[in-house]
Amino acid sequence: MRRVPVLIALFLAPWLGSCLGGSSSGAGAAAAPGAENALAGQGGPGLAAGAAAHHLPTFRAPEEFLLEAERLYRVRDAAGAYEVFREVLRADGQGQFALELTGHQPAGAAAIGPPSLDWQARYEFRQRFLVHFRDLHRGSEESLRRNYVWEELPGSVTMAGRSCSRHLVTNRYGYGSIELTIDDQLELLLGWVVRDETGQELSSLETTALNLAPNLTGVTWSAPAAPIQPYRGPIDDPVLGFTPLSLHYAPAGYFPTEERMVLTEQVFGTSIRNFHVEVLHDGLQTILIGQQGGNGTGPGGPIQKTIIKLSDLGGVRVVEGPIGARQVCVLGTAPMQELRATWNSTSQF
Amino acid sequence: MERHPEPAALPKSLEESLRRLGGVQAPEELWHRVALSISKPAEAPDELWRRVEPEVRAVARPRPILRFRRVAAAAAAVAVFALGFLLAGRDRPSPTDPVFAYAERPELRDRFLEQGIAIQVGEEQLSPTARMLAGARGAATEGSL
Repeated sequence: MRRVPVLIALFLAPWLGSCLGGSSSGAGAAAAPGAENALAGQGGPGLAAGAAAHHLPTFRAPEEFLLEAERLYRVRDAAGAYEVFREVLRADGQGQFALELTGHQPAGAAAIGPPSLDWQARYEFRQRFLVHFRDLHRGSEESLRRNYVWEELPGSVTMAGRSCSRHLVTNRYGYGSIELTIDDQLELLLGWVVRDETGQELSSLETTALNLAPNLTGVTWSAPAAPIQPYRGPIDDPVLGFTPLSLHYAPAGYFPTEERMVLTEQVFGTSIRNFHVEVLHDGLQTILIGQQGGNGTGPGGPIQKTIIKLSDLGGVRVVEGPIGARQVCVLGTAPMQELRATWNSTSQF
Repeated sequence: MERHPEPAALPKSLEESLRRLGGVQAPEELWHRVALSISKPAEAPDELWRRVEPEVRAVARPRPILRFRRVAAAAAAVAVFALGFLLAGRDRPSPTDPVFAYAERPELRDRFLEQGIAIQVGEEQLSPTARMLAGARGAATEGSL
């Protein structure tokens, strides 16, 4: 009888090790799945048995802090050039935030200048989406370990006057890599660089100034431009106006995390139909699947004859096409064929 | 008669408690313990050694290190440990998850890719909603919003 606890402890020891463990780019790294992958190996995703425990850095997104941060967001466009947006993020640390565009350098321009009214209006409309879906957020420990190989880069850097550590995070499935710059003291994510599967920089964010005791008097906090509600399932179809299609495929590592209804018809009438957004998250990045209803329902014609539009906008890739009366689009930074397979899977009934 | 060093004096309260016991006789075992504690080691007589020697030799006989019960217990521990490792290493998603399970099957993805007719387009040929969502996701799109 006394041996039973010992046996239980021996059985649980590997589990505890896998919970605490992770892999670095060293010998403990697990092989990625799929022979077609740049990181092809003989195993599937997840940790190799016996992988050394590796503490993943903890970090929080800026909008969770009381701060005023000036940042430079740089994004590649469809032609391969880069545009730069200077923005100011203000947050009260209680969930409210505002993202303001204060400068814009179009592709080919020599320097950052004042933004146009159109761009200011776009930022005002998009700010909540940009902060929630464009900016990086730390997901679950399991997804971070499952989907990425972590490596802390040597030395420390200074960003916005803050001492920071840098981490190179490589996607296990060959989807690219991300470089994170994290404030050592606050564990605040101050910068990141997203690269695609070829190593090309897609987008980056750099905090250039940071004020942790800002005067937020008079700040107009962001608010949804149209009512946004969680989508709970068929019970919400009458409100949404159509039944969203389900996914039957997602790029490796991406899990569905939320579904929302954006009820634009309540503000803009039928000129902008309501749409459904499903968010997939892999621990760091998001893929958005947008579906917009139209007149009529049903699956429509055979998928084999459907024209599917593929558009590489530089920082983001888009797959769009009609499925019956619905317009469905899939957006993200994963390889185009992964996004396309995801789109195609929604047409399966 | 040999003299023994004077024992330390008992605490007063203990002495009084013992006196209150009156004529109660101490158990014989107590006397044996006391006698043993004050006795000095002495060599046993040869005759006693001759009587106990066979028994002592039998007890001291070397035993095999690898007894079956110890081997079985060690093997069971190793098996349990190895099984735990194997199961812990299978850090995989639930196969019942319809979305994630498919992501690990490239043949399914390739089957989806065979369907439909895909064409490359520019930003201006996307729908306003797609351009808006792309902009919200961080693309430098000049959609209406």
